[in-house]
Amino acid sequence: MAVTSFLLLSQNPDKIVADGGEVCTIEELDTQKAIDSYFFVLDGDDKDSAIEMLRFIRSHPNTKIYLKPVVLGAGVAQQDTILSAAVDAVSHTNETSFPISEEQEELINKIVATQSYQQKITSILGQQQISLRILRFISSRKHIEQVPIMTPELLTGHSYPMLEQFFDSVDESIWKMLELLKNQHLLEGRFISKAYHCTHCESAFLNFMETCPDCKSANIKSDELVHHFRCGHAAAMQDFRTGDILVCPKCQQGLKHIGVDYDKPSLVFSCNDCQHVFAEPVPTTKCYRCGRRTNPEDQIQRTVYAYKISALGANVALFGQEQLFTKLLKENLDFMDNAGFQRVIVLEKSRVERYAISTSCVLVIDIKGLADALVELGERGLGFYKDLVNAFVETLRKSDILTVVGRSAVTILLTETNEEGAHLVLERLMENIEHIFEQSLSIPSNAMGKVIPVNNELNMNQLALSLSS
Amino acid sequence: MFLDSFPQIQSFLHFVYYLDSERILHYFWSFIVIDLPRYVLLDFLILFVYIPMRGIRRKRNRVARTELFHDRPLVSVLVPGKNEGKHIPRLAESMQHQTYSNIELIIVDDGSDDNTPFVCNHLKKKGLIDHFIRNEESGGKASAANTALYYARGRFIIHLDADAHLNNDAIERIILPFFVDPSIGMVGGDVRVRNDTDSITTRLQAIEYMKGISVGRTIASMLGMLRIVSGAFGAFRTDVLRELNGWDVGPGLDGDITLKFRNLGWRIYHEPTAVCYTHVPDTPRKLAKQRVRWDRSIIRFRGRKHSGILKASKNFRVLDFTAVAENIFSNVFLNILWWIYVFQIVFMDSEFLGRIVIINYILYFITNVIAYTIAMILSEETLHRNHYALLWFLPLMPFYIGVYLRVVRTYAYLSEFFNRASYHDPWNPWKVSQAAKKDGL
Repeated sequence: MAVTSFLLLSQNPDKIVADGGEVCTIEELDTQKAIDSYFFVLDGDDKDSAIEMLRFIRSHPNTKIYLKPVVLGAGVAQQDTILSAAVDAVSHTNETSFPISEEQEELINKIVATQSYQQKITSILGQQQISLRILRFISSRKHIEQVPIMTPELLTGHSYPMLEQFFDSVDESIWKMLELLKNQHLLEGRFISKAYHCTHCESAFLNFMETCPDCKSANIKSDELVHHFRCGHAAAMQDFRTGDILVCPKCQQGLKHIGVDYDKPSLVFSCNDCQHVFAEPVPTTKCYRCGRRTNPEDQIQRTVYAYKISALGANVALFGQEQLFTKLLKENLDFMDNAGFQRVIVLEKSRVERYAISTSCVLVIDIKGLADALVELGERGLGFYKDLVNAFVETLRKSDILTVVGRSAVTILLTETNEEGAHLVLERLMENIEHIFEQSLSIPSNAMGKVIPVNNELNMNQLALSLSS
Repeated sequence: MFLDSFPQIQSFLHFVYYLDSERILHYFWSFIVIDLPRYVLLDFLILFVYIPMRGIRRKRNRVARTELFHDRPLVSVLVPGKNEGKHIPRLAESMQHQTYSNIELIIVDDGSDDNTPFVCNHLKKKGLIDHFIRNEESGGKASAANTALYYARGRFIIHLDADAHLNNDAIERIILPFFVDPSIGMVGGDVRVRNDTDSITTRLQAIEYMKGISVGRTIASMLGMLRIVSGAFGAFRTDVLRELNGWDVGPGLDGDITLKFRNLGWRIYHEPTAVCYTHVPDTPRKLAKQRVRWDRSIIRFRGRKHSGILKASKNFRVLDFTAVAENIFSNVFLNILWWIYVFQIVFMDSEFLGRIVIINYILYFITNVIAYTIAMILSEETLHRNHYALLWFLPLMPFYIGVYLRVVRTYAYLSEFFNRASYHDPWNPWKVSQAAKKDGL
């Protein structure tokens, strides 16, 4: 594959020549061209505009744009460690040598991976939750671990360079989001470090001090506690010091050999401000940003992880948390989209009315709390969904047609089935669902079901609502 | 006649009937000369002097209490110990319930190898301990106590064993005497046995503590001859303790520090209403080990280190001389006399041995009943049901005090006198014992 088609984004497009690609500003960026190009190149001569352009790409609503690889062109912007780490690759050639050559295998692999990933994603437009965008981004770069970089430039002290571009401001919200996704087992975290953050302003820049327990002053000094074996006297080393030698103030004997006539069993601290003598100074922290003093144990202690996508997260990234169940149903049953299903219902209504020799029913089952169950079960969530889908597979016939209305209301057309038969099917399904909830979550299911005969009164638009009535 | 069928009883009664004063003195001089005055006659001082003066003491205490709570001086409670973690939580908790609350609790961990540091750090975080000092290397009891003293800020120091359990008013009670009489430098608390129901050994010690500490030390205190304040529960003026640079290397550091206070001219007082319960050895073997350590200190400290008190010097004081001399006399000299007495009745009066032993037993039993009754009257305010139950064990006391403790004491004296065995006692770290031995301390 000849990878030559790229878009070079620059605030000064006239000054740059891009062989094999096009040069434009953000304002001039054509969405279709952006979708068609293999990757973006950012003008490396201007750091601030490079950051702005990167943020623009990552915040674009179109999946085929925000997932696209970004290369940082040669220039002063590459001196910014975080910006260099935030893009997929940096070019070490000068601006006239664009496009990126085929030898840059790593980038090509990324392009191929993201392209094929984009093709898997069905829903590419519209407002997507930031969590889903992050999952998709990490999933599209599944071989890259999102490793935090320590930096004094950010309040949080650590930067996730590639992910920060998805957020409006660089603050603790990225931490909270990643922790949430990890708790939902959508991301896997590898321990990197622990970090204390100010409980008042979330700053990671804290001054740890040892202070006097009485007056809280940091003006303290430590000395060794000396124990004289002969007379049992114990006091600070300074009490024993007489010129260059050590003499016991109690028995006036000289101390000669440590371990033979004296030892130093512990440390003793004293305060230069209030003269208080104590065994253990009180650790305290002072925030460089807000200046508040707080006990270390009262500060926020965060675990710093490097993140990568989990198996469950990869599925959720492709289909969305709610659509995962629908996707599994589609794979295993005769599934129709809503429009098709409505057409079949219209036909069925006409058939039943015209011949009046058979009856059909529609079954609506709404299983509440599916997304919560996924979070609760973590890695076992996928198995739980599959069990639920199996319950439908085992109960339904080949001739039954199925669709999903709303988030979790499964609607099934049971052809040639009277109300009594439909109730039997419903009962069996509800029993199976109940059993799966009990087994997996140890809680009763929150599923509701209803049987509606197919006749003239049947209104498809009210099917989902009919459950709550 | 009925007695004709029991010739042995008849013979015994005949022996008793014909006992004249000369024979009584000959066969029972040990009881009459040594133990009767020590254990019974002095005890009557409680009945006829101490108890009748209760009203006056209460009045003085009321005034002193007002002064104490007006001044509210800080009291530093020092608890040195090794591997005492299991006792510390209860001790720290009991401090929270004291009627006198201006207390700082200082725990020194003398190189424990159990979970003591963890327990104490946890209690410190909860605010139940003010200072916790962890010495990585064990330096012995005196070193740990002196370390605690170094950190103490209180006007008064209370030295407490980690396994001690205090009555809720114990700290107030032990501090009050300092406000009653400014010449008092040191106050001893009334140490009683906490685990008295564990075994016969602990029950016998419970009776012994009631007699020896509650009554014995109250009398000695009245007479100005108190020569020991128990380390399990004793209070000190901090300025004096600092002047003396704290405790010297033990064993027997309680008695040693008491004598040092006396040497400086301070009055030593025993307060029987300041009650502390302590854990005592529950088997005869463990008890013997503990008592051997205590008894050896008589030779090491009274006989050697503080022998100066017995010599004429510019610091010579009759009461100090009497206190130490009485200590050595009643413990060492009378112990020798007891063996002479045993030798006499076994080898010279062997014909009447059985009868002499029975009469001695009866005399000592009566003595114990009288002494324990006086102890109960003295401790009336702080008695509980267990103290009454101990009455059933009084018949064993003549064997316990009269034989068992005397044999243990003799062994301790001989081993210390000839071998200086206290320097090899594992109670002190080896390095400390060697340093003390080298300098003859």
